Amino acid sequence: MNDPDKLLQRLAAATRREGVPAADELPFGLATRVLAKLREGRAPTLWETFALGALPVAAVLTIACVMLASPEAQPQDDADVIAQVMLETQLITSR
Amino acid sequence: MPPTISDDIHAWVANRDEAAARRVMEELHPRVAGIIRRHWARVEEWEDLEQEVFMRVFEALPRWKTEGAPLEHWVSRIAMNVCRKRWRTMSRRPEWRWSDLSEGEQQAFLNAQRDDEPLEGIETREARSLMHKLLDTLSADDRMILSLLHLDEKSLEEIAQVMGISRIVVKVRAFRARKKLHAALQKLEGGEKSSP
Repeated sequence: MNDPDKLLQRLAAATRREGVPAADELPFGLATRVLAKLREGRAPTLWETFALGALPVAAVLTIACVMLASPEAQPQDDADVIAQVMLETQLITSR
Repeated sequence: MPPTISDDIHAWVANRDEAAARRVMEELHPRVAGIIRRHWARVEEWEDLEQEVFMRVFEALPRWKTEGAPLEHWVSRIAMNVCRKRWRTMSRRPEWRWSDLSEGEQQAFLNAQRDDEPLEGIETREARSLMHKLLDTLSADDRMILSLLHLDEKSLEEIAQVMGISRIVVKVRAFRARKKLHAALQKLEGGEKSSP
């Protein structure tokens, strides 16, 4: 081979001259397919990410609050016990 | 006054405005398709590659403004990287023998070797097919460098920018890749001489 670089350059020049078919218009359906795929793979918004991440935390907090708010969970001093008993006791009975 | 491409990009990024996205695709399609068609030989895969390029463009559009690159260059880089990724998925680098070439490719090879006249007409189509077969023998990165250098006639600086490497690395890799192509051409020539 005389000059492989020259051969390569000639092949490259011919390739450039050949060119490619012009592509002025979008192929039919391409935009629709791209948009459909973008909708499928849409990344969650910041709010969605925060809300989803906060959900288990909120659930745990709610359960904790319910448990803490129950009478059994709350340590009561004597004054509270007396007040509770007085409230529960019917003082005036109807005749 | 019709919206500019910047307006449409903003409408997509802010509101996922699909009508705006379609206008962006129409505007960018000639550039994207030109790159895909110059660098990927298989016609039946052009549309699939164009789809992948646009997917990446739209996913990355929120970052485009912060990168500060002109839109056309930024999109071109994405298109070339899609091609490079696809070249990487080619499981095996082919080794072409003379008998693997079509008659037209063989003739284009012989004419390119013998004449000083440029290849014309049908020969350019065969030369293009042969050129892509030769580029198929290279690694994805080497192919990208030589494709940009010889098919797009980009400078070393421009190639370095597209690939995110230094000019010196581009130069060295281009030299080595050309040597590999020379070896492939010599192999073809050897096959041609020994063929009946």
